Order: sequence, then structure tokens, then C-alpha cells
Amino acid sequence: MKGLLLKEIYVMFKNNKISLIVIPLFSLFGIFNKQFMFIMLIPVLLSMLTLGTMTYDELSRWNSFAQCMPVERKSIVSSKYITMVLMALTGSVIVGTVHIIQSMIQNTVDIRSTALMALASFALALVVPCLSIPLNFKFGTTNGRIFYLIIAGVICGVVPAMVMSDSKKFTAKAMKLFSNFPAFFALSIVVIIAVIAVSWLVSIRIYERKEL
Amino acid sequence: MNRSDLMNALEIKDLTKEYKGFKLDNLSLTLPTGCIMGLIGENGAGKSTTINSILGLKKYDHGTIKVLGQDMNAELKQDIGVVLDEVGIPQALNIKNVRSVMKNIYSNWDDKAFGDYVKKFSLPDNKKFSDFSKGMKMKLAIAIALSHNAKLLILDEPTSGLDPLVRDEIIDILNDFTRDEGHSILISSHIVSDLEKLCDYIAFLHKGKLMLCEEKDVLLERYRFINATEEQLSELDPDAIKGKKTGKFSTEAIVDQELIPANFRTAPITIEDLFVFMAKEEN
Repeated sequence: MKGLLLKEIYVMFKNNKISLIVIPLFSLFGIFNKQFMFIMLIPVLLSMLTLGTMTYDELSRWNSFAQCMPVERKSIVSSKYITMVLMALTGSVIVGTVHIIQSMIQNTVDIRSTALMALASFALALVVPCLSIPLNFKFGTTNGRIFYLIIAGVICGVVPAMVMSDSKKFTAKAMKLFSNFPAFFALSIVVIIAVIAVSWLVSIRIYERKEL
Repeated sequence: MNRSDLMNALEIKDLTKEYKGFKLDNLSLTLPTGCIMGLIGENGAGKSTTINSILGLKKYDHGTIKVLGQDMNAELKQDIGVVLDEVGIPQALNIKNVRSVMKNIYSNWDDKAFGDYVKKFSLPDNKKFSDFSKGMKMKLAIAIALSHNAKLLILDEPTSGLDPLVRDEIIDILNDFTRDEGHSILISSHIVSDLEKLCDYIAFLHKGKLMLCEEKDVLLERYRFINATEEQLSELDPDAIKGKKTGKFSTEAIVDQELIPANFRTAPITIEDLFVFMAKEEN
């Protein structure tokens, strides 16, 4: 696994050197700019690098080569998910740190809101990869992107419509849950872990059946 | 005598794999430990399908494959060195990166051997893999395959697209590898002359079927050229004729020497002649 993770890191950063410049730059903008959403791009950017490695793997025919080495197919899949989670975590630590620095400068330190920002950024960073990785394993990165857009489009069309159909009730429930911060925080973590686990297992199932 | 001396390096029985427009049909072959087997066939004959099935890259419809006495599994690949026609190393990596990845993948990785091969092949340390020439890419793949104490090498077209000098160099390295009696090689190529220099056994694949699998020296001894008229050929046992080419005045044929009368004047063949004649006869 260590070898596979090393390969992921080399491929990610050697092909995306620009991201190493963008991240500190965004962090500085985040500290000195009141518009905090800017900084939320960092975890998204970092976790999306994992999707980039899948394209590079296809181009170099790494998947066939890796299959000739003493590694299980599930390890190859797991290396993607571990990298994705590590990148998202790194991103959310950066978000949390920038948020604290920013609130110290503005004299509005609030650990709860910092934790919430870090958690939100972590969740945000995982949305696209958790949906895309299984699709990429199944259909390849080019077709996987198309299927991702179709599914994302359907979700974006259906979910808001469902919420809006009974918005008052939904808002009341959300506010009630949100007011109980520990419960909300714990539930969010459970949901995030469940989403990662489902995506991970589906990817393993797809990749173990795949002809390379 | 240890266990590896007793078993075959590779045993394939009734391997069948069907795609649209192609069928690898009941392939059976055995590679004894310590030997080199060349898998010869035209493009699309089924060489890569066979190798991919052995390595578990492709699922097969029917048959059994035993490698070093076992069904293929991830741990067994510690003992197998593989070179595919497209090498598969990520383009952005340099030798140092490749080295640290492999060191952490193979438990029996021999870092000194890898360093020696890199030096021997004059491979650049800091160049990206994408900037390597085709020959350098293949040499790096061979260096990796030879640097984890593999007992069996499985090579899919390792010399295709390379110049004769590099091909010759690679053949020498593979010959060195089999000096150890426990080492075996399965190598596929459509460059028959390379395999003729290297192999102990030759397996001919044509349109997904195994036409023959035999020791190279036996083939060269048993099959011979004859020049004869069509009339003379018609008098021979049909099983004796493996292929023929009809010219204006006579017909050149490759025959099984054991099945023809002793009074025929015969001339030696090459493996390439035998393959071409047999493949054409089959068409």
C-alpha cells in the first residue's frame, strides 16, 4: 500500500505543480479577505487531484502494469480513497487554520464556527470524488465524467425541488438539528463516513470485476 | 533438489476466451522450469490474450492456469517479472520515483540489482519517463522485472519497435537470466528471429489456435525444406506437408522429415520459415 500511495502522491503533485502555488495564495487571500468562500476551494481542489490521477493512470496504462505487481485490486482502489480522504483532510485543516487566523485578526474567535467550517469544507471536498471515482472505474475517465454530469444534474434537479415543495417543514427541522451543535456535528461525520464507505465498496466491486 | 526444480513454471490447460470476432481456442501448453518459451503469432493471433489471462488482467471463459504450481494470486506476483508491450509507468515519474515506489511494492526488491541495471542500461536518473525513448522505456521495464528476484519472466512483445542493437542487448540480458536453472521465461513476439535466438521451446499461435508447441531444436531437426513437383507432393503422406509455396517450375514445401521417403533432398529451415509456411497453409 505504501508503494501505491507514494505513486499517487508523485503523480498528483508532479502533474499539478500549479496547485502547490495556488494553495498558499488562496490561504493568504482567505486570511485578508472577508469573503471566506474563496478558501473553501482549497479542499475541493486538493481532493479533485485524486480524480486527475485516474486520467493519468489511463494515459500511462498504469492499471494493467499495477495488476502485474503483487498488489490486490482492492488495494489499488483503496489507494485512491485514502489519498482522497488525506487531501480533503489537509484541505479542511488549512480551512480551519485560516478561519482561526482570520477570526483572531477580526477578534471574533469562535471554535464552533471554525469546526463547522472545517467539517463543511471536508464534506464539500468529498462530494464530487465519491460520486466520480466509482463511475471512472466503471466507464473510464472520459465516459465517467459524462455519467457524473448526468447523475449530478438529476440530483441537483430533484433534491432542491423536493426541499422547496415543503420548505417550511424542512427549514424548521434543519434549524432544530442545527441548534443542537454536537448532534449535528456527529451526524454529519456519520453521514460523511457512510458516503465514503459506500463509494469505496462500490468501486472495489466494480474494479474487481473489470477486465484491464 | 528444491520444489521449484520439480514443477513446471507454467501450465495452461484448455484456455478459452472469446471476444467478438476472436476466439482463443482450448489453448494448452506447458513451460518446464528453467526453460524459455517463445509465443509466436501474427498480430491478433492471441498472444496478448494468453498473457493477459495468465496475469489475471483478463478473465477467461474456460480452462486452468497454474503459475509456479499455483493459481494466480497477488502474492505469487512477487516471483513474476512482467514486461508489457506498453510499459505502464506513470509518465511524470523519474527513476528515483520509480525506485521508491517499487521498493515499497515488492517485498523482495533488490535495490542494488536495480541500480546496477540502471547503470548498465545508461538510464538517466532525473529525466521524466515520458521523455525516455522507446528503447529506454523497455529497458527500465526489464530492469524492474529483473530486480525483485523473479523466478518467472512473462514478456509481451518486449522487443517490438526497438532497433536491432537494443533488441540484441535485451536478448543477452534474458539469456543471462536463465543461467539460473530455476528461472524461466515466457516471451511473446512477432519478431520470430529474436525468439529463434533465445528460446528452448516454441509455441505457434495462429488465429487463436495453438498450431504446435515443441522444443526449438526438435522443430529445426524434424522439419525440412524440399523442392518437388505438385505430382511428387501428392504422393506424400498429407500429414507430412506443413506448408508449401508453389512457384512457376516447382513447389517449395516444408515437410516432416520422419514422414517422407529418405531419398528426398532436404534443406534446413528457420523457425520463421516454418511459422510463415504453416500460417499460410492454415489460411
